[in-house]
Amino acid sequence: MKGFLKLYPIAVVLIVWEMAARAGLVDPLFLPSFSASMQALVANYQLLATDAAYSLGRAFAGLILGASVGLIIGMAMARYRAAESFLDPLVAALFPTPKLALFPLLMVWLGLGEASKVALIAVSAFFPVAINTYAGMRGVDRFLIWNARTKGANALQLLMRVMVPAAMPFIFTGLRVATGYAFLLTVAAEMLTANNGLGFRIIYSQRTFEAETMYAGIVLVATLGFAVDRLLGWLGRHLIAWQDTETI
Amino acid sequence: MGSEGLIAQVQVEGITKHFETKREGKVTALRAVDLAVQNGEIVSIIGPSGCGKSTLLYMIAGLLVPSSGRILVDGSPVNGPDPKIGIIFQEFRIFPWRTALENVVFGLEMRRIGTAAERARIARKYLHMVGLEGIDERLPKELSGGMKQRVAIAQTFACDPEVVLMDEPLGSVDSLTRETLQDEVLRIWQESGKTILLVTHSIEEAIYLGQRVIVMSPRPGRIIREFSVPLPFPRSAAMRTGPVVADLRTEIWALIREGGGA
Repeated sequence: MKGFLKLYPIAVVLIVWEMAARAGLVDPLFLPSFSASMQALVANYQLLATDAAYSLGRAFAGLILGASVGLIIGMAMARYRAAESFLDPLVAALFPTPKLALFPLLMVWLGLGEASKVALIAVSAFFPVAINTYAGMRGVDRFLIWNARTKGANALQLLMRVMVPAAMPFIFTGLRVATGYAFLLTVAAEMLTANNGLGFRIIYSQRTFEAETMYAGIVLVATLGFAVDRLLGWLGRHLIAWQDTETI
Repeated sequence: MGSEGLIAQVQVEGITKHFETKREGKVTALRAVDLAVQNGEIVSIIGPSGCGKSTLLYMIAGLLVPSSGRILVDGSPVNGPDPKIGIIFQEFRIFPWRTALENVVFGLEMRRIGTAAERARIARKYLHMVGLEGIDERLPKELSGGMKQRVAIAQTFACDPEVVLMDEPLGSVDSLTRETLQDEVLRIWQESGKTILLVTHSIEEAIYLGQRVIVMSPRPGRIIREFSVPLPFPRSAAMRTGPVVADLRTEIWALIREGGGA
């Protein structure tokens, strides 16, 4: 309950929005009221639910793919000198590139269907997970590693039972950033080439002057993004409950 | 405590260790160190900070490789870490994501010794040995410094090593806890019969815990003198303030202060 009370600023914004629209301060084509947008949400429930399902499917397919590869590459970079010296400059150079710039290229390679979208989302999710896994595992206390080695841990056990858990707070932060990127690029890709998904619905409603549906789509995207981030936050707190936040 | 004839359990022969550092270039941490520790002995090493005493322990544990010389444990050369040589690190390096019990079973789990239930039973025995009861499920962040150090001791002894190396194991606990833990270490040593080699920067601790005290010079670390401690076991609180400790302390302190010219 206390958690919900902390969210009151959102309620304030929604109320101001509603009052501004009802008072006729702005053209309803620019800003329909919150209640009208919610009515559009209910009226187009099936359409929007289908769009949401498409968007979530793409976002999670890309996220899982990109995060898995990122985890493996990050682990390899932390563990093998050769992988580190080869991949570190590449990752460092490509990370700041806006991933959307790769989309035309991916469409040429993979077509206009799902593959290019999922690939784009995967690329965006890959970097934060790879970089954080690498940094987290490089920073593992040498004495923890030594303690494990003197107690008979082999190379695989050292990796999976010591280095990965020790780096988990970092890896999880990377995953959370990656999730944000995945949502961002899902919507962007859908706005560019798709005939379903929330990104498509938002741009389509805008082009057809259905402002209420456009706002319904935006509210839905925002709500989903917020809910997934909260879920990850909750999961993170349970996964790394051992962290001594007072000393770190 | 001569080592003539008989091969000592830990035999350090002519160890030299160089490090490559960014700031100072090539640094000699240890030079021509010879040391023999017999089966069942408890020996303290003391020296000024930076004298390479911890480096020496890490080499005996197989974690660092000497630049020259050799180290034998039970007559065979050390190449790499081995569970028969246990080590307890400074500032309780236990695994923060594992509960106390999970920490103590770690070595058994890695080497797949026994079933999970058997491992837990062994771990409880060692937690009992270090005086910890009813904290099995607690995470390290929920334990005091002294308790964490006890868990670290139990974790190492649960692997049933033949030699236990201790790297300033009591350096980061308060002085009251420290005296209690010193007595615990001595009791565990007597009960287990393990060979213990410990590094400390407290002269009193070195004398109180050791049958012998080995004094090292500042960098490059060499062994400059060795003292036998003529005190019987079990040692008592009265000995801490008695004349034997006081005299030895004065002598060792003078030796360290003059910078180990010998």
